[in-house]
Amino acid sequence: MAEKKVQEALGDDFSDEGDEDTQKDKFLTFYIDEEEFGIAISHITEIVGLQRITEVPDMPPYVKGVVNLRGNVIPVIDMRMRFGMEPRKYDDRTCLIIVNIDSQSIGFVVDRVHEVVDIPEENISAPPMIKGETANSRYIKGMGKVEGKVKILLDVAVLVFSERFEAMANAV
Amino acid sequence: MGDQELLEILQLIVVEGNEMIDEVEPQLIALQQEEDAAGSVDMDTLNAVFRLFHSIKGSASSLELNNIASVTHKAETLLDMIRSGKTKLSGHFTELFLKAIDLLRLYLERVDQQQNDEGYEEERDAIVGRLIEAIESVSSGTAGTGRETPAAPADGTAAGPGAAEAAPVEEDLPAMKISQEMMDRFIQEANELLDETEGHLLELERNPDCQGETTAEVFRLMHSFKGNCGLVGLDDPGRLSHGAESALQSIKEGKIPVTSETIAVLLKVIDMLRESMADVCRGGRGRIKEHEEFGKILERIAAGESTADLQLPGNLFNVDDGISSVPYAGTMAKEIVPTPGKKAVGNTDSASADSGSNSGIPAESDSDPSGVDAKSQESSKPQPCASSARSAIRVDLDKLDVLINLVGELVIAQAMVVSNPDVRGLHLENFDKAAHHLGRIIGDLQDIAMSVRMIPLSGTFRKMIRVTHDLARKAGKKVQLNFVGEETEVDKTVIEHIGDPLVHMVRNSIDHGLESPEGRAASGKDATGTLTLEARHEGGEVWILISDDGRGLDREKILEKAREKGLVKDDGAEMSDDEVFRIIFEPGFSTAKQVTDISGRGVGMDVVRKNIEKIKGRVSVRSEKGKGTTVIMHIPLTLAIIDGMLIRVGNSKFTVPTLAIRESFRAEPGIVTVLPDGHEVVKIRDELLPVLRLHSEFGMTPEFTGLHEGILIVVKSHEHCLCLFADEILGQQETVIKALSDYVGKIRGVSGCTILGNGEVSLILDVGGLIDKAQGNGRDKRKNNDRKQ
Repeated sequence: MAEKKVQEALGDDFSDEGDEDTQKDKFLTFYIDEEEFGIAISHITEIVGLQRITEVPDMPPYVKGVVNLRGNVIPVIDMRMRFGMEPRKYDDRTCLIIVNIDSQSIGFVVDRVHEVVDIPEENISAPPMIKGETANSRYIKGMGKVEGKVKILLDVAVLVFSERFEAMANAV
Repeated sequence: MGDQELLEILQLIVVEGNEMIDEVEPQLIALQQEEDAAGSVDMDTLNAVFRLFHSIKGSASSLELNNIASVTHKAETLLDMIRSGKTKLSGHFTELFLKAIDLLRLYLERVDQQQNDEGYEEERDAIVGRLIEAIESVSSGTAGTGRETPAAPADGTAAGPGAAEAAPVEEDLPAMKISQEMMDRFIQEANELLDETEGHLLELERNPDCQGETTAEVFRLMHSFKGNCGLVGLDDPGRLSHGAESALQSIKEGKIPVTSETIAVLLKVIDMLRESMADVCRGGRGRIKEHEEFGKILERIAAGESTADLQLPGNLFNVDDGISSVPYAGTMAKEIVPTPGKKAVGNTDSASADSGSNSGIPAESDSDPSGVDAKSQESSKPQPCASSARSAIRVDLDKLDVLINLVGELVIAQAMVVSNPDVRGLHLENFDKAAHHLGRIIGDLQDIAMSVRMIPLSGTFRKMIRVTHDLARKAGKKVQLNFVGEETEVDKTVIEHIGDPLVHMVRNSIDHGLESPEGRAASGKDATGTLTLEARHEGGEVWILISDDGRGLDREKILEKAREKGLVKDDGAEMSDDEVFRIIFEPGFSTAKQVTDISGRGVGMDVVRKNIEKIKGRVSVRSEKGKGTTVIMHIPLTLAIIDGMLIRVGNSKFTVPTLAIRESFRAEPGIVTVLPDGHEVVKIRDELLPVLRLHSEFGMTPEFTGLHEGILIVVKSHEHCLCLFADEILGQQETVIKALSDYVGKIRGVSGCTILGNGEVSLILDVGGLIDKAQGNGRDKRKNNDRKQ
């Protein structure tokens, strides 16, 4: 149900933005370990180097805390931990991808940011069913093929909102 | 007139109408009390009530809000009868007026939302009917004595749109005391109206095509001006503007054409009115020397006489250099005609260039200096007097919000500069001096920015007069309402949020707290109960107290009900009075045996608490059985910036509001006791305080774990204290509160966050919340222990 709403919301966003056509096929790719992921750039507001994260109590473990971005306090999610991977020590290539959905800004900690690529729709295939981790696979929008390499394309809205539902579920 | 303009005008009417009603309603009630007590009423106040209805009627009829107009017209008529002595103000009449006011409020709301006053026909008919009854009963009772009331327009359509009244009102108004503030406002508005009118008249002349809209606009402005003059009892301007209004009406209805002479006459009238305002500003009565003469001219214009035939006074077209005018012959009018636009425009252009200095005022009045104040010719600008007037300006609230946000950011930015890691540890004398200076200036800026949004509580308090009046009547009780400290100022958002809670609490006091007159007499109390609303600054908070001298809270009753509802498990004997009283804030709680339609459903206090918490305040109750109850709303003075103490727990920095800190100290190894349940308490000068280890609370790794190694901070909220254990105190700083993002949501023990000088984020501790939690724990633990034993 929530997913439907999210899809609708995303649909609205797309129709709102003027040059949506040019943005639609662009993805920002980043690395977690050796795996390359991609996020549609429409919701990305900026990419910053990692800053000092202030811990916030009572949050799910993958919400590392908040950071100060030019006076705005933005919550930060560790992408690795979200996927259930082992956390990794942050180094100077670790980045924060800041997305903005529904007027809320959230930051994602990723190992390395790669580049912005064009992945036309025909090169995107449906996500495979991953045994076991069905909950996680909801976040995958599709598999994009670029020059023979496969990138896992993530659905940002689902990533953010499902987080929240999960957080709420955890809190209860 | 344009839609946007119409909308703005309507909104203005709504705002001003509501303001007037708020001001006058308590006065009306006071009048009735006076009448009951002393058999006579204060004429000034009575006139003020009259003016309320008159003024609203004026605005309404000019905008074709006929429902409002008809109600106010009837009320005005009845009031006029009262003030002219034909009848006395009776309780019945007062109720009628109050009902009319209620209906007006509804209509104003309708206008606000839908830009018209349709609807409520039944109520309108009912009230108008009763008013007519009242009027007829009075006029039949007194045949032809005293003054005749101003002729009421033909009934059925009371006050048709823009109908100029038969006679200018308030000719024989007794001398009344108008407050200086009212006068200042009047002058300011009057000048604004005159400026606008002038602008429109000029436009009308340049652009005869836009006639319809512009004329209606000018008519409206003149009507407002006339009405205002009536309000403050200025006869000459009132009459003159009335004449202008009639002329404009004829133009509006197309009866006469717009010619440059007409415009010139009207412009001259504007000037004369300006003059008059200047005179009023200086304390005069606004007398206009030539108002009769011009009044006649305007009448004749209105009647359709061609301006060419009129003997226009020669000084109509003075070019102003402050030169005394040369009397032109009446033939001047003809000479002007060929070049219609120029002369008059030139006239007023120079007038505006001189910012309204007086063109065309008979400078040759050395022959007759009486009418116009001689000083006025020294081109003193007819503007609101700077000396006595506190000139005010309407400001967009959004702009204020932006301003305050920016000031907040400025405070943070200042901290980031002054505490920058780059300069830490360096001895920079000049830099320090400059930083200090900067800090002082920003502090001042902050104070002013905060005060900009502050509004005195008197308005909110006064609203309670009507509420009290109605409730007391309904409940059959006698209540005396007192105000203390109503001039105390609070932030605008606070005002918006305490209105409802105040009403709820007044309701509770009157309905449940105060006994009936018989009950009170039986207890030896005065039959009239006292309800006191008080406001004062206390520490960094504003306290608003609602006290009654009624029967007080019954602890046993509360506990009984609480047990019924399962809010309390045992007999509650252990609970302090304070804790017991706090139960009344639980949702759905009420000890009322019956639900009256005023209260008893158990909704009120819960709403009160929620509303207060919305503005980060808290509520507390003090009561003594048989003596009375006091409910206190504690509201933080500033919502955005607080003084904070920075403390460190492990690698995290927290901020504790300085106001909540009582003291801090390092614990001697011996003063800590560990209770059987694992909780630690510390003894300070005969007090035993529980200890809260912040690192355990927030799941962090501290530097020190031994209580004597770190620092203990005693914090206080309500009347309870708690000891926080942290690693170290870092210092004090001004904290701009930022809300944590919605995504993070509400966190126990944390009330927000702030950004430190080095860019770090620091969580702000919610002392009250931590203490509540600690107490709750304590209670549960103790209960468990009791059961074990």
